[in-house]
Amino acid sequence: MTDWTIASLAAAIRARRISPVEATQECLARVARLDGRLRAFITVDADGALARARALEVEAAAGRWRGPLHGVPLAHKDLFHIGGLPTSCGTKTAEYFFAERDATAVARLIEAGANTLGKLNMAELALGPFGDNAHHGDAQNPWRAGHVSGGSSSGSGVAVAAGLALGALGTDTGGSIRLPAACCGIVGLKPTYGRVSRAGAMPLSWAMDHIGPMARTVADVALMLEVIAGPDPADATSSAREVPGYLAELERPPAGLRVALPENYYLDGVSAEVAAATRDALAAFERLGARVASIRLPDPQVIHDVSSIIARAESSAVHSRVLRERPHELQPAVRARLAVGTRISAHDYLQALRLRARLARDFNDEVFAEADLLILPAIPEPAPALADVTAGEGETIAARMGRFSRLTRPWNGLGLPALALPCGFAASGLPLGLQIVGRPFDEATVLRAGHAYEGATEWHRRRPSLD
Amino acid sequence: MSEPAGPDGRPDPARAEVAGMAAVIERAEADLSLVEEPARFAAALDAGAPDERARRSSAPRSTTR
Repeated sequence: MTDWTIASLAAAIRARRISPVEATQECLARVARLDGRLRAFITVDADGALARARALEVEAAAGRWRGPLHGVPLAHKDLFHIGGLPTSCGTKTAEYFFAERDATAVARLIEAGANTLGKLNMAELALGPFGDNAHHGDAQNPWRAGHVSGGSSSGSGVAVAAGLALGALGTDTGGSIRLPAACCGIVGLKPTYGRVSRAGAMPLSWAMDHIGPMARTVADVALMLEVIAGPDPADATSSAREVPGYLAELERPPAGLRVALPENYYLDGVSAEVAAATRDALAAFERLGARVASIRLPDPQVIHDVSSIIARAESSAVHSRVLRERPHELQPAVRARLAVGTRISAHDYLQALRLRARLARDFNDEVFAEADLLILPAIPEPAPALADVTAGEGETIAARMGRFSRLTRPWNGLGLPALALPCGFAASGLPLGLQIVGRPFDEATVLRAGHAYEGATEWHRRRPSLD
Repeated sequence: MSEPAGPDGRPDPARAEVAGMAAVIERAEADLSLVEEPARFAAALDAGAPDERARRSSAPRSTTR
């Protein structure tokens, strides 16, 4: 299972070289063997997954193919409502969240033939970038136990990197898809705000929440996005824009694209290895024929801070009940983050929303007049040790959380598509992650550039040694 | 500058953080136009999006759905 991608497994199932039942059994066997120490799953639905695999196998035998994911085992962050399974949202409460219908993104994957293995570990209430969870166990970095797996979609990153599932859905309010993708050495996409319906997923911040795919390759992420993107009557913020054929776009070469490396903020304070890998990536794009340059961005700290104010205020409003009635159930850092949100004034929250609109407009006008894509690091350092980042008081940990997500959060505020993908390895053996950011609703160009970079490098082919 | 204190006189990191956020807003809001409103964020995304018709004319559409 460690050698398959979604694309290669789906093709093998079509060619009847492997059956949906065999693929599911192989994933479940890996989960049984490895997840005791990795802690990627909160709920494993082994019986349900095998029953669905058998049904998919019968359909395949009869020549009835549901779609491009027929028989492919996936798993999803435990904040998506999936009928018949509890949704803990990483809290102590097994059924913290309930929705009337399956999450739209999950339902679309199932309609396309995917099989759901279970629900994946996550930071409590999706509030935390490190992958620690006092209730369900700390999701372990597959490259080095005891190190941060990234969060909040920690189990999604771990499960895909460890070959427990071929792909996963995550959510991203300040970096929660891209941070675990970078820490675990896989690919993760935060699409444009509104590109993917959020219906049926636990809200954290309605202005900042994004749902997106995580997988081993850019092509797999493109395939998943093509399935889940598009308007949804159940989510008023979903965009009516037409969804392009992302897979078809991948093969267009990146020659001529204007790729820029920000000269302010994004390399400030990052480790030497991260800075070097990012500059190497820029050189790789130049060899691919892109027109590379450096660019000075409108002060990213402002949009970072504005985004943080909005997310804090909204998350404490959404989750006020647990904070008020059962605060003792929350991890100290989660409680501290929610508590700050209750003290933000209505004036500051509303001004932040107004500022966001202006900052987004100014950014798009200024930056995309000079560049088609931006490249920058996803994480400021290789995944640190969990013990180091989770030590101390709640407020201290919360401050560390803010620093670790400082490179990803601005893109939630601006609503722009941001792809995280592997761009090297530290001397310690831990992965390094690159971000590629593009125009609103231009995931096609972001993915196309990522696919070309992937083709020019070998980073995505490495696998953690787990067996 | 000393950290803001809570009612008991002890340093209050949360209070400091909220004060920091308020300062950010105070600095940034000075030149906000009267007509600026949150809904203009979605309009900014739409205005910044590429022209899909141009893309369609130069690339085939795949058929996953």
